Amino acid sequence: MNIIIGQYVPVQSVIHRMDPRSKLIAVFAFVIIVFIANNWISYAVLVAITCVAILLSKVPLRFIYKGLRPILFIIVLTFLLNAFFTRSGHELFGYGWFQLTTGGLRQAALISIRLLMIVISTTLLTLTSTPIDITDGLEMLLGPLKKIRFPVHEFALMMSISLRFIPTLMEETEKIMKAQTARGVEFSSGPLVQRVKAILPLLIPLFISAFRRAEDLAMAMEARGYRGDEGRTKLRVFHWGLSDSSLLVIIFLLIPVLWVLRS
Amino acid sequence: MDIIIKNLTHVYQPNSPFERVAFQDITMSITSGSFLTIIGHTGSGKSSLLQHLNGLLKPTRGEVIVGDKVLVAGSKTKDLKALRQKVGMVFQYPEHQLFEETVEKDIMFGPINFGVSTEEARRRARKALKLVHLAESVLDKSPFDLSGGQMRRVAIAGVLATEPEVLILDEPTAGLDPRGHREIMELFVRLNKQEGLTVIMVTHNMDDAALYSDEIMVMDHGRMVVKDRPEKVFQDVGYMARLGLGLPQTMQFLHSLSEKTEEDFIASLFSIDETAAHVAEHLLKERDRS
Repeated sequence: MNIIIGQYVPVQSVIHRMDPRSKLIAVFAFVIIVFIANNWISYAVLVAITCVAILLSKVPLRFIYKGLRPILFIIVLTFLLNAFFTRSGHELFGYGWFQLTTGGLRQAALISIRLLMIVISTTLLTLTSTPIDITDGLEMLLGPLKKIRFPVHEFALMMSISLRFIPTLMEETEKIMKAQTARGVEFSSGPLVQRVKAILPLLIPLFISAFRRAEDLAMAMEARGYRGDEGRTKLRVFHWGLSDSSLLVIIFLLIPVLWVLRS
Repeated sequence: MDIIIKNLTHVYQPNSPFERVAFQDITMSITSGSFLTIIGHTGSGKSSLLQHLNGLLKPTRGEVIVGDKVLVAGSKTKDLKALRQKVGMVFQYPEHQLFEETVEKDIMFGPINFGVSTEEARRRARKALKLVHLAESVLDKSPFDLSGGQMRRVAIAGVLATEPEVLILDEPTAGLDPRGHREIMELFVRLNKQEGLTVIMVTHNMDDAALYSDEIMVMDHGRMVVKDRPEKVFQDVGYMARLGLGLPQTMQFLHSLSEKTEEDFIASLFSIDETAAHVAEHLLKERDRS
């Protein structure tokens, strides 16, 4: 089972070595910038940049495909919806109410590419940075919000703890499912009503164990001297390098470039 | 209900980069009414093997025959539910599966799933509770208000209430205090000897393995290396040590005693009384001789 979109792939590459902060900003900006593009040339620029990023990251393509798989269905669906519900240009194919137009095809292709770019760039972020790096980076980037009493540190901690416990909870789910199956519960066959009912004997033990785990974890953290954000130092210190600055410059240069290419 | 396992192999996530062989080529039979203990260190495939006996895992190769039910690799077995009713399974930390509002409802959960009427399930709940030595007054309590040891008993009662013919136990005494440990083990022995249940247990406790089982099966790296009576299994000390397994305390004591006194006290004895009698006899003989 693979829930997390794009799990960290440990290879040595320029992008892996970059500061997670620059990657976070770049991806965030890129996702917005993608919307500036509205014709083939501007899209070509975006696709080129994404391809270069993939090449630089040295992540095998199958991992990127694996990250895309869960949302491939959504992309196909948007393609079809756009293709059949946009009516511009001349008609290619028509059957009563059903119409396929050149404008529709163009629109569908562009929108799908846009979606793909967004997903690939975010997948690339999670593929090239560990979850801990991402949360640490996010914590530092959101640092200024502490001024308005936003609990940034707690937020980041919550995020990393939830990520850490996904596999544990999956294991636990499997264990409890087996135990209840042995007591005659059927999770994957039988009428729908019964299958829905079967969720309760799974969820209650799961919740109880999650709470117990949370309590144990809190206790263990306190026993090891955790006392929140105040005065806490970092094990890993980020290094902002030339590559980080260049990445941001490239991304922000994209805005005027795309604006000019835009029609 | 006899259990026969033929050339059984299980592979987790076959044909993927995560492929892992749990155990391979295991052939054995378990006679109805016997007490079999499986030992072997973590990751030797014990738990995976157990889960084949009630169809929670399907064979990758080979077959499992439980009574008149046959599980063969590559074919769907119908009516696994009937098999699961006959083969009760107590998982590690079974108290983690409790979920109902009252103890009674939780014990009745299994029987009702297997199609027993509510009255019958209620009757069975009382009977099972008696078997695990809990007072009827806990029936209306929430299982989450009980102590750890009591919760474990309720969970075991929940499995016994389905009236299985085979009882599978995966480290049933893990985390219990010495008294809870002894009482739970005595319960299983009683079920085995008096009610005629076939008991198959996985444990890391060599004392339990030696003391209670008719036969011990030793697993190492996914293979069955020994299956014999406890006296035979613990005879080859060097071999057990190489497998990373110890000896029962009584035998450890006899070995240390022999080393210290440079005399041969070694015998395959597992209960403390027997061991004491054996040592005393030896010492008396010694005194007579001198």
